[in-house]
Amino acid sequence: MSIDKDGNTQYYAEDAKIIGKTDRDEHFACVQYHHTMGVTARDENGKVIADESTGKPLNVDEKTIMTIGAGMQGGLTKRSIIYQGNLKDIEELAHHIEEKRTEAEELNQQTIYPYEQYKKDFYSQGHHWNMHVDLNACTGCGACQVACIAENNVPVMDKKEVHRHHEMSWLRIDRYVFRDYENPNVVYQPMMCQHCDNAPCENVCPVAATNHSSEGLNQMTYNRCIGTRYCANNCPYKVRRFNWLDYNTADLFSINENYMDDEHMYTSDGLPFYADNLTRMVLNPDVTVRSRGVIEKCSFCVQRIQEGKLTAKRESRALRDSDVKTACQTACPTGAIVFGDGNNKNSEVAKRLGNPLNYVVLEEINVRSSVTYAARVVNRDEAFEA
Amino acid sequence: MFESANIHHTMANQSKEVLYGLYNDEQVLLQAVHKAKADHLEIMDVYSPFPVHGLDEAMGLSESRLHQAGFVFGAIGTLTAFLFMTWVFTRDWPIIFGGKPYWSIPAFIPITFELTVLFASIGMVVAYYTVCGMAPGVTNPTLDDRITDDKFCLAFQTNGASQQEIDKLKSFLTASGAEEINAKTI
Repeated sequence: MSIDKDGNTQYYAEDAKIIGKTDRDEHFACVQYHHTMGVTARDENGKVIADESTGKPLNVDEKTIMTIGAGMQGGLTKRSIIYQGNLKDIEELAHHIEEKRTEAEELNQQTIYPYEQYKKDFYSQGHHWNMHVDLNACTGCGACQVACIAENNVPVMDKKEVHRHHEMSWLRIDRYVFRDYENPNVVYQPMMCQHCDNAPCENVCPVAATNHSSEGLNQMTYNRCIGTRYCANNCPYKVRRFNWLDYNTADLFSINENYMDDEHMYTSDGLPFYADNLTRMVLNPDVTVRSRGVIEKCSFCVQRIQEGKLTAKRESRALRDSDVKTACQTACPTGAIVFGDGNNKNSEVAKRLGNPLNYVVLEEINVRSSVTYAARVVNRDEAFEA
Repeated sequence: MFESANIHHTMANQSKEVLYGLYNDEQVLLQAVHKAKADHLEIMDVYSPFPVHGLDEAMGLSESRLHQAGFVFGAIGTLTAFLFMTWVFTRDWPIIFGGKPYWSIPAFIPITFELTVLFASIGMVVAYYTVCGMAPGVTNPTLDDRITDDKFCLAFQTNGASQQEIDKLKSFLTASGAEEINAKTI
């Protein structure tokens, strides 16, 4: 970090300059789109898709942007991922969501384990943790992601690792851009483990490393995990992360691993970055440091849940809604994320569950996620829109 | 050797006195076996370097009951897997998996199937070795080395037989076309 002439810290590189052609292929790394950048869009017959007005060939991302229902990330099929509408059409939007949810519910009834009975048997007692994300309030700032990384000892990946899909973030901000690709609209969607009551990841674990708690938490047992990654393959939300390397120096495997090309990532003793005792103090002692070869994912900040429950127990009272707050919830500047006990009818999250704009991502596949989203509503002037 | 699944082999440790004839051709052997059966002679065993079609019917061997044993072993495997999982997931250590009840039969099917196959296959191998008296380290004496090569052998047990009976067997072997007739105690 440099100091400018007025004595203020500058948080950007002052010495950046354009140097012209280098004859090098530089890879672009970003979580959602980096392998589709610059790929020409083609229709089913292999014909290049061009912009109607200019005749310029479009790349797949630009084509994706044209219609929100045909996006790359989840939009290939008509699935419930993003709902958004204009304020003047809010009745229509609410009706559309209700219709879609009824349709999904009908599909979900075709099961050998009826959910209502199951929920009554397993989750009617005690807590059932739920989260509500208001897409109207979300500005996509990413504070929740940073808070999650700090709280849960999530390794921060560099460009090289992100480019080969090794991003480790437990919470990601998906962005869905639509309409005009020159001047697109965008909806941000924080996506974390949905803690599905019918979790597909749990069924496929051969060693029972992931299972459900009686409070509806989808929990990971890191030391039982053998790293088959079946769960990550089976996760419809793609929120499970695999530790390809020992990023946090949990087992000191990193001594044998030259995964970091950057010499700054090593201490003066030649140890990896995290092996330094002082550096290790950034780690949250309440959260396990995951070693190489295990899957990790959002835990709904289970350490905070346990702390809240213990506080209530110590004070001999029922758990209050304010006792448990997840890291992303506390960090959100607009209060878009609300977390709490869904079984407690007076909790903030239970009140929000009554919102008619609520929907569940991929509700039609009967995973019964514990996270609900409120559809994005914009108030846009038609004249401005045109 | 293939026709040696005879219970006499495995019984007792007492030595056996055997009178056997060696044949050059499997058709001659087959006719000899038919003739011995017709004459009500008690055949100890027939040895052949390769399977001879019709020989087991001629000897009057019953169909192997190995597949019945296999079914029993498989059934044991099915029950073992199913009951063990039932006990684990309902009594010993109930865990919630993916929105299923603790006792979710469809989820038990793969392991039940696998243990069925495992028990049946291993059980049948053990049963086969036991019945045939075969095991690592066990040596079964051969009457003549050439019966694993190009000779066919028809053997009679002669423990306690009178000289007259032995002569009768010898003349039967000669008449049925045996190239060589030997007596051996194994």
